[in-house]
Amino acid sequence: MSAKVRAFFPARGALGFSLPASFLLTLSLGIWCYMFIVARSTGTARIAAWIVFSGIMSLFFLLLRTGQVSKYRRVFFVAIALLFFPEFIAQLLETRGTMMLGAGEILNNDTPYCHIVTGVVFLPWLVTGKVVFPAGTGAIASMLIIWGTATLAIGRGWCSWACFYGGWDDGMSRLARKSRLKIGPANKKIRYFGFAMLAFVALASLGTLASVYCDWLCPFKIVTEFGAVDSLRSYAAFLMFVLLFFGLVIVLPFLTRKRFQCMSFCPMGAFQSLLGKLNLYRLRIDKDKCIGCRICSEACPTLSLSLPEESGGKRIPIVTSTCTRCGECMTACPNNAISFGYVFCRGKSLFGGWRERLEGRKGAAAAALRRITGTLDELLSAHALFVYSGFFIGMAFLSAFGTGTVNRLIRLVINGSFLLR
Amino acid sequence: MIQEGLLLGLSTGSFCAISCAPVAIPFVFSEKIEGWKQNAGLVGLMMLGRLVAYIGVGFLVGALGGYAVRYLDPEIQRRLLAVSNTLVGALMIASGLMHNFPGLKFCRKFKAVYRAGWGSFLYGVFTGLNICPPFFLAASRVFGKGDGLSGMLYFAMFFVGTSVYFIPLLGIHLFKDRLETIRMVARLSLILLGAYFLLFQGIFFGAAGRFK
Repeated sequence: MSAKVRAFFPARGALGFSLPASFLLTLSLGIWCYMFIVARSTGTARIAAWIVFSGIMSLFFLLLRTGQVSKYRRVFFVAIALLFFPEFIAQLLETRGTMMLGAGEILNNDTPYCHIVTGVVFLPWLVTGKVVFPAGTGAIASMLIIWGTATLAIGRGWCSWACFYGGWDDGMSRLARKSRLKIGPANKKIRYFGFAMLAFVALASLGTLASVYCDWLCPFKIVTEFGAVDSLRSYAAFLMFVLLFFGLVIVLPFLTRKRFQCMSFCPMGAFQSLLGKLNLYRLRIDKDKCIGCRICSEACPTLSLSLPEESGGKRIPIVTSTCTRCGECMTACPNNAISFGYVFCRGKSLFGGWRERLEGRKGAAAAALRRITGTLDELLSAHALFVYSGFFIGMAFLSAFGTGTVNRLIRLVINGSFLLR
Repeated sequence: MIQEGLLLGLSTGSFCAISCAPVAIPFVFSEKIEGWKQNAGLVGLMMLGRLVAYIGVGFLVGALGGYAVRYLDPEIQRRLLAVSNTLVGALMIASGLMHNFPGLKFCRKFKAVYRAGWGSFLYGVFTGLNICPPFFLAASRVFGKGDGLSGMLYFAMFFVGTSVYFIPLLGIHLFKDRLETIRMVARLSLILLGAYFLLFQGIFFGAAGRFK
């Protein structure tokens, strides 16, 4: 490829991909993205679909080419959260006329299933065979299929790539340049508080056969749906929701630059940590490149890089099960010692042996083969497939809600109304 | 009589275990357990506490006979449950704080009087007084007997039947590889569950007439 063409695209970063690999991966995701988002849309929805499509493709290409995983992932992730809620609330207002749940919806199991309660309802379901959440079988099954697939594909990466709630505190945790409330990576109690929350809400839900988290503790109730506020008990619950939302999702992430809600309060995050080992990818720290500077563990927004005890040598951080694979540590590492890897082949390239054999050979065929195997290595690398999977799952949520919000914004400009009915 | 109590316990004991799990599991995991003997000792004392509570209730309900109908009155039942939950919540918060913040003045004072064995026994008593549906059913069978001893015997057998569902608690020491992390999580969840029992299942539940 000529130098002029190359100069048109952003420079390749240390963890970035070559132009052919970046193009091929973007093209592949683009086909899926077109089918999910653009293909069946009409009218203003088609314009909205193309806007969302272009956004996703640009972010994905930039992420691949520059290797700045955390930066472009965050833009994508925050966009998922910000575009999800207006559409969700608007749909509620159009169908129900209010964000409040009525007794009818609860009794008829007519609410959308929220993935956060999966870990909460699991134990009562295991023991009693009943799901203590007022959603229908279809709603539960469809969300469990998406979540189960995502768990196999990206593990706890769900919390940084797909969850439409996580974008709130991820975005808030990066608004301030400096943390005003210091929380160090040595603080194990905060890191494991999420597991305590999971144990608490799962056991309390088992004891009462009700979803205690939804009844009292969900910070996202005020931006989705909540029970009717018509009694002293419901006023108290609503006050809890407001306080938890502003405290855990807005204020604490802003002050600490840590993802407080996802790290220490979300039962789904803890549940996902327990199941996270089921997927193929792990965060790898190259022990030769790592100088033990601990910048990565300070930068980690979920305190997931713990430091081993002082033993004279360099202190190489240990990646704990709470890692959400957000890529913040990769960006922070001055030596590019951190990357995604497969659980089955540590640091080896799949086609490295082939390239070594081709190394001494001359001629156009050998050069072409070297280039092809190099690109294949990039395409099949854990780094490429992980970010591809992350974007794919996030894109599925954007296709359902993001396009709707952009469409509503277009209609707002044209018709002056955010609601379609 | 003996058979009926035992069979009722065996057939409905899973509900008892479900009701007691939020208290029993975090407590047993939060204590420092070195081996199976210590684990069995703690679980045994908790079971003893449950047995004492069961026998006490069985005697009272059996002896009071027709008067015990008042005990089965939903309003009194709710208040008794609220008091029991408040006490168990307070105990959970206190022991959770003691484990997590040993430097605090209150925690130092509490630690001086706290013994794991007594704690275990008290948890057993409180969970034994937890009026779950099987417990309610057993009580309703006993109050017609008009005999305290028969009531005690019925509840003792009911206890034996329900205790089968607590056997898994004897295997906690098997998690020894991960016990340090699990213990930390259990100690934190003790505080959370304690606060939940104290506030929501205790105080708010007790004042439910006004908290609607």
